[in-house]
Amino acid sequence: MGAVTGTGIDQTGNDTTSDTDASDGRQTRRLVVAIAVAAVLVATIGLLVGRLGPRTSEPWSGTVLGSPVTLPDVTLTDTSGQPFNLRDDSAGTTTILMFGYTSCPDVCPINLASLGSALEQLGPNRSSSIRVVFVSVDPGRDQAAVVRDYLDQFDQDFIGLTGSAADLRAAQEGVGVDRAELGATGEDGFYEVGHASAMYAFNPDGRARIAYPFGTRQADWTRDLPRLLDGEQPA
Amino acid sequence: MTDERVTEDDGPVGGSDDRSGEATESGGPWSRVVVVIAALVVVGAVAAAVLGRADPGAPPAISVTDARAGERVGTTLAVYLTLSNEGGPDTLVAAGSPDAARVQAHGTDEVGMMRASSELDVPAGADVRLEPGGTHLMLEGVGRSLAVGDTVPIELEFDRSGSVTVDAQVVPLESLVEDRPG
Repeated sequence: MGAVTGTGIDQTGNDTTSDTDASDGRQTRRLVVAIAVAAVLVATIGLLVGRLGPRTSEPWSGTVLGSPVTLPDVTLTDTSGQPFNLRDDSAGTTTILMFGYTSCPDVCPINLASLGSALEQLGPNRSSSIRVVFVSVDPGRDQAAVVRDYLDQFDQDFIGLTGSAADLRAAQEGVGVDRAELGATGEDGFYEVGHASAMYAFNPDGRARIAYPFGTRQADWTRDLPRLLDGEQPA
Repeated sequence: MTDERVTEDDGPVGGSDDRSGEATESGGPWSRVVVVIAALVVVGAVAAAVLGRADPGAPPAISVTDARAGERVGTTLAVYLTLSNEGGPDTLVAAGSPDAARVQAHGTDEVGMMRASSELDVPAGADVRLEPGGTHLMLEGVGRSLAVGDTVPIELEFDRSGSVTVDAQVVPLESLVEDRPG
């Protein structure tokens, strides 16, 4: 009996101790479960807010400009011979502007093809709201018909412009890009033209907050263009 | 004298013993480590110099891979490829193609300004990549209509390796930037 009592006391003591341990363990488990549930809830809410709310934190494929660029008030000539004022005739439309020349082997065709295939992928409803303006900085070779034929190989809706050396200079300075340089003429009369390779995305208000460098892929465009069309702006 | 000697002897001997003991315990291993490291550095430097030196006498071993061209849209066409040289240094001095009036190496700098270069160095052990937006071979006066899947033969003339011919695959223009990061 004594031993039993003793054992009982011991057991009671042990039980008490283990009871405390168990309740501590249970509390800890409850705490862990509560934390886990809270974490899941927070994550879920966060995801929902991220999905449904403004996606301002989502990164842009293009390069966000430190200060916005405004379309310059410069009038060039389009491929049908009509005057085209960069500022006035782009107002109200999302406009992708780039400089180039039709004899360009590397940068221009890749830029135009990637953008063109992205627009194709977006479908006519959305792509018809985006205007692509290609300014040839090589008026010596790029007559209206040459530019038209060239652009038609990418998209017949692409607008081709060129102008006098002075107007082209004003256009490039207005957008804030390096002025194109004509290279040395080779034995066969060919010369190359160094020019800015980035494409500027102007909003309907005529201001660009993002530029797309050479190397922008079709997938980059299809990610950013709908956001630009929806009026989303970089923070 | 004897005392003095003993004292002197004991002193220096004891001192030197202590010092050598200290040296063995602390300075000794360190100086050995330093010597070993120094030796390794010297050996490594010599080995690197010997192995890595562009031996002007070694024959170049150039292979050309990943040759591709965008679809033709104007009269010019860019060809991109990789020149791998597992031998001594060489230089690309000329290029040509039966499909073009002229082929020239062009470099494009960060702001997209193209620079013509008459020669292109292919250093010993180097991979020289001609990539979109960078250096490329520009084909002028491309007469033939080229579609995706066609090949454009490119003849490369090296200073030491002589002539190497490669077929560039015509690929969709937009695919040329697809594998770029970002």
